Amino acid sequence: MAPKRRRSSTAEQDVSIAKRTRTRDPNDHLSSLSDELLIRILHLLPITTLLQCQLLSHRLYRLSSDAQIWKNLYYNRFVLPRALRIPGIRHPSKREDLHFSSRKSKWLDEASLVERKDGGKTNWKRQYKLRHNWSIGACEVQEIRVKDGRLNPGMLVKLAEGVVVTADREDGLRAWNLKGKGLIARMGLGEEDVPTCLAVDEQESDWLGIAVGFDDGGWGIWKLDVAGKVFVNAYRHPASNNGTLGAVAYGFPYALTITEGQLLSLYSFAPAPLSDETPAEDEDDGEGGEQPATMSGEQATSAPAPNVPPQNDKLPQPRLLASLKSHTSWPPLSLSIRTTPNTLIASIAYSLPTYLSGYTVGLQELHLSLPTGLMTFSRLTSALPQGFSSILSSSPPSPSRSGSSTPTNSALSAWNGVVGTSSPRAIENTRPTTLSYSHPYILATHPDNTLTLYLCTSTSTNLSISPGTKLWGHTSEVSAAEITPRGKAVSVSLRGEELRVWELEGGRVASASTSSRFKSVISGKGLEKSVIVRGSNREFEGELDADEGDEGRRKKSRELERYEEEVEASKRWVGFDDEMVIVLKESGRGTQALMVYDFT
Amino acid sequence: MSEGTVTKLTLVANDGQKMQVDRQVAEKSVLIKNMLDDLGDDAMLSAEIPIPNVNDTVLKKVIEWCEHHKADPAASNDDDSDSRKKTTDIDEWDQKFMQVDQEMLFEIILASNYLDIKPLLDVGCKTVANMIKGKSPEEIRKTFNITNDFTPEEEEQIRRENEWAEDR
Repeated sequence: MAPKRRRSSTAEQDVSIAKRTRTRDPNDHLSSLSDELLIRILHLLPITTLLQCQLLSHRLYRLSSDAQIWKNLYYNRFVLPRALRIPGIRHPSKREDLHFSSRKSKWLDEASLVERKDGGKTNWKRQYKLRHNWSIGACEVQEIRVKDGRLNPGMLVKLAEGVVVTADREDGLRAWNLKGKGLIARMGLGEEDVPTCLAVDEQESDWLGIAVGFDDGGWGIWKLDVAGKVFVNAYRHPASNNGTLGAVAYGFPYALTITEGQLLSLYSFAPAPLSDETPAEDEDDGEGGEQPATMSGEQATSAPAPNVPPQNDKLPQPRLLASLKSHTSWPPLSLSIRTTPNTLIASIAYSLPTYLSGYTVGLQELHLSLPTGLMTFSRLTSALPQGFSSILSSSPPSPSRSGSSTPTNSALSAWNGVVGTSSPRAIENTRPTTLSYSHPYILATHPDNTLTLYLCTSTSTNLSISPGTKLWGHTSEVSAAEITPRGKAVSVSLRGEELRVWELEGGRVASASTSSRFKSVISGKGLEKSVIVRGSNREFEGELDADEGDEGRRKKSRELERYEEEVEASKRWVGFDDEMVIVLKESGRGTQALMVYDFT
Repeated sequence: MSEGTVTKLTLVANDGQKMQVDRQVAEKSVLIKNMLDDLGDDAMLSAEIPIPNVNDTVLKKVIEWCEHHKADPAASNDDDSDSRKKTTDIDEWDQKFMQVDQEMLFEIILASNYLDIKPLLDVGCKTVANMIKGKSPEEIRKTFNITNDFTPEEEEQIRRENEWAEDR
């Protein structure tokens, strides 16, 4: 090796493995720099090179993993572009303070990563990788079989903080930990109880609040102690003759329910503090997946059953804060509760038939004053029918308007399944199959392979919804979608295992699609990005059976199975958190499985 | 800074060499500027300023840079502000200036760090970054004579760790 290498480009071409020497080469001027100076240099490198530098030496590995470097990269790639889109945040030419600087940068809603409440340090490299994987749709796919054999209709699923909560008639409430990959808690529901809706409240860090509505009009609140792996029934509302509950929302201390007859009820557990009472009688920890637990009594099954922690989890009888009957809201609908310092806002987003342009969405908000607990007002709005203002509908109505005849109440139900046959070129919206409302976004899925995004504006004096924006990309009927307040959405198609990730903030559309199994094909450019990712499959059933590299062996049978599933799949549901997406898949043969897409 | 009047300072490198430098030029170094501010002009102008960490050749080189850039506006003091965007933009004169052997390059970086001449430090770091960019680890090691202290297993593990970034 030449003793003093001049900066010549030819010398850099020939690649030879450097001989190992025991100590630092006296001519290694780079390594003689202080950590501080080396980090300054590493700051200037693009990511690919930065990662190459990790391979140089232990010291450079440590330095190029430096949190500040990755925080900077994260900011520039994921935060700054958003900040620049916010109108008026700063004139683009005077954007110095938007440049990364640990003191002054605007982190928007990601400030929680910078100043963590738990006092921990964010691993910025990991965080960067996570966001990177989301943006290109790269993830690892696993499947958890939750039910084999007989189809178990109406399984409800929610994902919160890495825990999947399922509720169905046969197996009651179950919780699955996606990190530990297994069933963590399980509890039978009453024999008569058919759960019809499910909501999860994740405000507390050590437990999840779970609200379940039943077909007899009753509902209940459960707490899932994630660390203790146990469900505790906190409150059970008796059956009522108002009819089956169609949707529920829960944000402690408030619970919001709506029946299929559109009777909306808002409850509060607020005034009384949690009392010390006996733990719930229905404790059913279990680890095995398949044994049905339709019994309601004690079923304390063995192994990881922790000692039931001292519970003061019973909730008092809630007060009914408000109740109202809606005459305009058609299912599907989506409930939400949010609070401002003085006001509690309970809202229903619902689909709404219009006379000329198919379906649109409506939104009703109930405002309650928090100090008094009294309802101050209620207001309604709906998105303009698309024919009026959306550029998407500027073309004349196409002939295939079969769906747009004025639907009567009875016609609606008959209509539900049929609309999918209408041409996707029909401008009017078909009836949404699902709605996801997460203020300020409403995302509707349609049988015609599209989604519609609506943006709500809610101020103290005004409530409005923007005209819908059509989102194209799916190649088959969109089965379900979920959106977060930040505008990140995940949607899944009925067939073909097509999963798409949308960044919809500010109405800007970029999507990444996933269909399990690795290798990405990037099509399109700029704003609309579509990536097909095939995640490596890891399969496990019930309990942990995570065998990492066994795709090859099972490939043949999996291919066939997959094909059958694609043909048969009947219903899908999707939910996601910061790191994972889960999809509930029901195949015609009665298999229910949770597909876990892990982006970490 | 006093307008119009050109005052000279005397800098002394660690090998005893003395250099007469315009005050405006010397003040590119925040270290020297702060000394002047702290001690008062009279004391400084008459005295010699020792620069103990920098040798004659390097000091000459640094002063050459300062001479050329003496009219540049003062840089912002936000030390960690993002200069990533301009990684490759090193102006032509600076590029020529930095065509030195590695030893000198790193001496300049150390000197500019010591003397607190941030723009020069940036140019130095950018030059090094450009030498690293786009190279394989082996090429980088070879360029800088870096000793590989990883076992093959460790190397493999890091490669796997970083696989995610490969297809961008």
